[in-house]
Amino acid sequence: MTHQVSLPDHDGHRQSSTAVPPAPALEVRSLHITFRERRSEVHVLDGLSLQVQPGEFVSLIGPSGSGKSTLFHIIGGLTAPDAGSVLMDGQDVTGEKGRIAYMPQQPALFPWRTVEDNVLLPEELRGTSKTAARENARNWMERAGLAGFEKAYPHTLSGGMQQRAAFLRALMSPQEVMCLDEPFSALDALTRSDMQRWLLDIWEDTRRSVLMITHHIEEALLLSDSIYILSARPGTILKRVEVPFPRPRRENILNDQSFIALKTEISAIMREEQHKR
Amino acid sequence: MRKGWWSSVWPPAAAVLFFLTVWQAAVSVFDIEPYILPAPTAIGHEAATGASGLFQHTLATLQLTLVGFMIGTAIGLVISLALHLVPFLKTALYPLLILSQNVPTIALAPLLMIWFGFGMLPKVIVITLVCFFPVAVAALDGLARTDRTMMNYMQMAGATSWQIFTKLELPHALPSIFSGIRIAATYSVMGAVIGEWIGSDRGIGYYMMLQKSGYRTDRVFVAILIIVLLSLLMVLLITLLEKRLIRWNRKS
Repeated sequence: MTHQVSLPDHDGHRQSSTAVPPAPALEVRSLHITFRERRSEVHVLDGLSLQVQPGEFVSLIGPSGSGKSTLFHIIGGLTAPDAGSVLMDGQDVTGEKGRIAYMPQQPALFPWRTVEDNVLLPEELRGTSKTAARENARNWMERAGLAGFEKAYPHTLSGGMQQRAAFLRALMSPQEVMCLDEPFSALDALTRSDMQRWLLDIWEDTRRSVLMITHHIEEALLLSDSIYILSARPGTILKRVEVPFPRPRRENILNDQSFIALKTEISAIMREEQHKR
Repeated sequence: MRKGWWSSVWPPAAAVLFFLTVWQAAVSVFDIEPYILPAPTAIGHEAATGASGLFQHTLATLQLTLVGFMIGTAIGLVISLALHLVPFLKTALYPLLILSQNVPTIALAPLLMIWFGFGMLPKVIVITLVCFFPVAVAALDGLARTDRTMMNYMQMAGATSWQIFTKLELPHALPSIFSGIRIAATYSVMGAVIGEWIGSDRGIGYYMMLQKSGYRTDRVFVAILIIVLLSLLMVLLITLLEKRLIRWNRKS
């Protein structure tokens, strides 16, 4: 449980494996899936592949209904793909549950647990002692502006605070790869941009491997190292975009010429894709 | 705060008072015989003077109600947990459980008296039979309607099915379980009274039968009043227990 507070340990990781490039923290290889409902067939994913390197923040952006959530269900082991595989650190984990730290679209905090007990849930599921993790959780809650709310029940929190608690719950999970499913889509614009800055800050300190689904281009550009653009159904990767901005990033890159150029480029691709449907 | 409380209490209180006044007036205007419909004041007078003799009966009924209610609720919970945790049992037995409710439980009471005599056992069985069903069905319903996003989270996090049951399904179903228990609480008083009607030598039900044969309608009314109070007491107990166990906001 040390990697959560300690600063990036993957730097050492990288140095030790200079000869061979490290296996991606998460790799998805040509996933195919078709859902059959009575007589109609819905082809959802068509050979989707992507990689998340250790310590990399990757976003997946695409039109709604393009199978993004299905992809997470496959990575999470809830749905079996028709073909293709999910690998972690080079190991085939297709269909295995409990390999990712997950943050759902709705905060899905348990209303009968205090905020702190919600954040500690992954520890509890793992069967490790909560007392050790408690202090860690307290530190993070303070950074998340949740100090003083440890013993509060989730319904007393604002939407943004609930989302931060849900994020901490994922962050406190022992799994290395975090999957964020449109984490801020339920928030209003102002709270959303606050949350993006907050997440940027936290992530740059922890450098977990992250795969985030979003349909917000600016959000993806601000946070990510690379962005995959997903096609309309059946979902496949249209393009992978490297985001060149150095870290730590400040919010003023939003006004940067190259930022705006990238944003225009991505939205052109997405608009074209949307019109194809 | 106080004003809010008062504004929600006075309309029903005024309605009750109005109803009692009409009753009282009707009895004296139409000169109704007390054995058909006694006036509210006569019932009140009887309740005040005859209260001491009723205490033992009330206590007996309360005891019977509590024992039957607890056994019934426990059996209801055990059945719902078994059916929930073993899906095969649910497909096999759930329809039978629903069908069993077409048997009027109360009609079984005479049969139970023949089999088990006039002691406490047959009455406890009657109460158990009327109590277990609402608890079992409400619990099964609550357990089956677990929030999808929370369930997804638990599965993604690699929770075992036992962890999913204890940390998600059971707490999620608690409000639903309690609504079943609250129904069972009122049923249990009814079951106890009917059990006492059919064969007993004490309890409010027995007292009622006795006064009925003497045409003491005022005393029958007093008995009904006590039954209502017992029901309210049971519901109050359950509500207090629920408040202790469910401290989060039910609506969210």
